[in-house]
Amino acid sequence: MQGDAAIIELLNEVLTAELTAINQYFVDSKMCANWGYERLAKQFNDESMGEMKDAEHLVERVLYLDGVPNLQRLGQVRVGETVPEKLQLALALEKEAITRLNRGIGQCSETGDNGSRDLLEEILEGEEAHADWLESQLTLIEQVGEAHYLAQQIHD
Amino acid sequence: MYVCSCRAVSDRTIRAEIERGAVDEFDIADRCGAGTHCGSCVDEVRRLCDEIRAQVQGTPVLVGR
Repeated sequence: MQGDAAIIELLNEVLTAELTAINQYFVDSKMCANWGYERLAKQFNDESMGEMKDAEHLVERVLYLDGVPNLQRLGQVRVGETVPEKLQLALALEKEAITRLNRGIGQCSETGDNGSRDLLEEILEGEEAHADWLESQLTLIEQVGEAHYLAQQIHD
Repeated sequence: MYVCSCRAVSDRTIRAEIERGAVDEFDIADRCGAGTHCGSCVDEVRRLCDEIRAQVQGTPVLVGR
């Protein structure tokens, strides 16, 4: 079905952000594993795979709308050098995603593309949950201290 | 944060180079190699240079480039 060109570009913009997040969380996971923080390594890996599922649905939606999914474009992969920095950079990424998705949902509603709106709403819920988890981790670090927090991340 | 993954250059390194007198992305490329391989970080290096230079030197940000 021929979709609205602006909606296809919007879906590709969201896709670019997902592809960027996949890579960022993937390297975060591997670096945490290398440092011995198995619990965080698993969490970042799960997030990376979750973003890949989002990317899959976006690619399928763009193809359904007879658009060309853009898997070539990538945003800046922000690789933190410490655990707290990784969590902060992940939170920044999620906040940008939440803003983008809310804007996109409005655009889909205006265009009357409820299928795309549904998809973006589903992705938004996941990103909000992830942002909430990241905020909790940063609060924990503030409250218990970085060393105590990190000690809890050694075992999965 | 690693700004340039190709050359493993962090924002801290770029800040240190600017404190030592580097001005723009070309100076950063000469001094630590950031942005000289795939080139995808050059925009971010340029943005960081402007931001850090304004902070550390109080120098006006260059315009028209």
